Amino acid sequence: MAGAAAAGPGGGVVAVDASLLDELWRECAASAWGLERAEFERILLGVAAAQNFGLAEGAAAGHAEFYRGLRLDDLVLARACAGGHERAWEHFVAAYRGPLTRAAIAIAGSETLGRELADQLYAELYGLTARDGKRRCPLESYRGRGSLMGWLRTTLAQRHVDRYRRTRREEPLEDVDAAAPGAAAETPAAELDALGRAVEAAIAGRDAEEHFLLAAYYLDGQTLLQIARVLGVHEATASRKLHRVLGELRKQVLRHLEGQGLSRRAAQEALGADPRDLDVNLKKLLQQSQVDSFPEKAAE
Amino acid sequence: MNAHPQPGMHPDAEALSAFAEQALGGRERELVLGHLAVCPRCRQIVALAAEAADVEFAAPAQAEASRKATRIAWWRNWRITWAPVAALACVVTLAVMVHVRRVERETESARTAQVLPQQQALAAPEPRQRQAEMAAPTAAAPAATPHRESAEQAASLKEPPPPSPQSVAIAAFSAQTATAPSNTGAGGTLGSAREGGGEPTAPPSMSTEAAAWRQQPAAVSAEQAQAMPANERRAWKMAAARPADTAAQPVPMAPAFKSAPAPASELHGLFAARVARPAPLPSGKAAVSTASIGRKEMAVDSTGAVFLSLDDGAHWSPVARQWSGQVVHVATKPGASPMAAAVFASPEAEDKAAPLAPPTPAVTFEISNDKGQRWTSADGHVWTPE
Repeated sequence: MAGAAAAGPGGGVVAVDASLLDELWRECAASAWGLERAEFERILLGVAAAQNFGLAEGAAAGHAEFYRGLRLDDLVLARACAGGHERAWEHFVAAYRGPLTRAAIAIAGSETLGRELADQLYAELYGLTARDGKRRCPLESYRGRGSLMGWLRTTLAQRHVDRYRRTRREEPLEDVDAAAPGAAAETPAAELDALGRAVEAAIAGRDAEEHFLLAAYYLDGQTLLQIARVLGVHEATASRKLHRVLGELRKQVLRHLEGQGLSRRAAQEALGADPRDLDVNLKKLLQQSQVDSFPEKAAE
Repeated sequence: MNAHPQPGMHPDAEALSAFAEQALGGRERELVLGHLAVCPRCRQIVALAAEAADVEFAAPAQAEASRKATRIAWWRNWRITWAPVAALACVVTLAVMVHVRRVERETESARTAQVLPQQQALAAPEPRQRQAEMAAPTAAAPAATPHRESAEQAASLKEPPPPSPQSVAIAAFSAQTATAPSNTGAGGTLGSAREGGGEPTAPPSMSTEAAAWRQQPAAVSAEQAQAMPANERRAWKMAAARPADTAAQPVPMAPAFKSAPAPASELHGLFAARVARPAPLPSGKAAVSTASIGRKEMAVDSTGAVFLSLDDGAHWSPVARQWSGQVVHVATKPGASPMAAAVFASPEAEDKAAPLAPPTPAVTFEISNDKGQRWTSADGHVWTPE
């Protein structure tokens, strides 16, 4: 269906095609939650404007597929709950309260902490918190790109990680990355410098997924299964990708070393150097190599 | 920090959730993935959310698995309970079998208790006959005494020591079996006793009745034999010539044998084999009384039916009813039956029959009913009242 929604001159969404709106309206049964048709259209337009139809910034086009790809059932339920609709809340409690608690327990790894986490989020969703005297409901931020349950799980995980990191900051810092003391450098300093530069260059040349693989596996200590789940691939695929990345990194490092004037043999010997002798912070390297990749980020 | 779109450096929960659910387009996915590559916080959030999703998805599977496990546990429980159930079934079966056997045994013993007195009463010789028998040995006693003593001494040397006295049945049983060793030439054979001028001796364990049974064929002395009519003398000769065949066998009740079996030394030869072999009757009932003449054998079962076997009890055939009342006892009777007497009374028949066919047995079968009436038969088929 072409021209489902028209983009304004500035890329703003002006309207949703009437037939498409009828189709989406019938599909999601928004009237069951007391939503008006005009309100439903306003919700759709707001979602599309916030995400620019999933397109790059500046690009504007009518995308019926974008609307059809939304989880409209969850979206109208979330908005109805945010609007305080009683039946919507009853349905939400019946459908999501139990899974929300189980997800919180799984995330926190503790029954007590999990229930506390779930109750806290539930109270927040119910709108018990207010900002500037106005009732605020996190469900208003749900835009229907993923499932409502997935959004709830991710929100729970955010709450848990933020609280953990906040309490962690209060603990004394450990010198985790301290170099091993007393390690006699057997490799010449020049070769070690060359090796460090080669590693930096090789890592910088990898794409986002390979960075994610290396960081998740070597820095976070995640298992291949966990990484595969996030990437949406099989565990064996994640393993093959990781091995391929390591092989290519090694080749690139060797190539860089040879490019810096080392012989093949010397380059291979340099690769056998004790990693503790290297002045390379892989953690910093991996986490800062693509710092400009996410457009929504700003300086922390 | 909340779930609203992050104006800072982190993608919001919506983007991370959509990324984890593979719901983002290529460009958005690359952006989120690039951020995840450099942001341990968001990687941790995504990993935790994915882990919680796995738990949530696994919950129904676990419920299903637990339901299956419950079913399996039910079956396993049944499997476990098989052992006690089987043991209980075995115990119940054994109890039922023991009870049935006990009831059968009690029934048989009650039947035996009913029949045995009658059988003993019937087996006892009549006073007149007993008087005659007592008179005959008295006359021959002085001549027979030394031989009797010598025969007893010989028996005590050759035969095993007599068993201790037991029941009447065993005594009668022993009395019947005493005819078998008599063939071996040991003291007490009818022939040798007659030739020696003595009378057959009974083992010390014999009761008076049993001894009387045994002494019946020998109760006729030589003088009496001379005084006998021709037919009776012939019968007496046959009886003397075939002591084993003429052995009357008022076999006691089978349970009596079972409860008090005689020692093997007492069960000599053929009779031991006969006792060891049960006599299956066509009626399926137990035989309450049997008697045999040679290979012919008569049997009376608990219902009063009479059966005849011509092959030493291997095959039985019922005998047509020619009597009144219920037959309770069968025995052999020494002396010619009326039919045999009629045959023997004819000199022509005696002269003709002698060289051609074996002589008609002088011992006949005799049955008694519950009223004490008796019938005799030489062949077991035709019965005439006494």
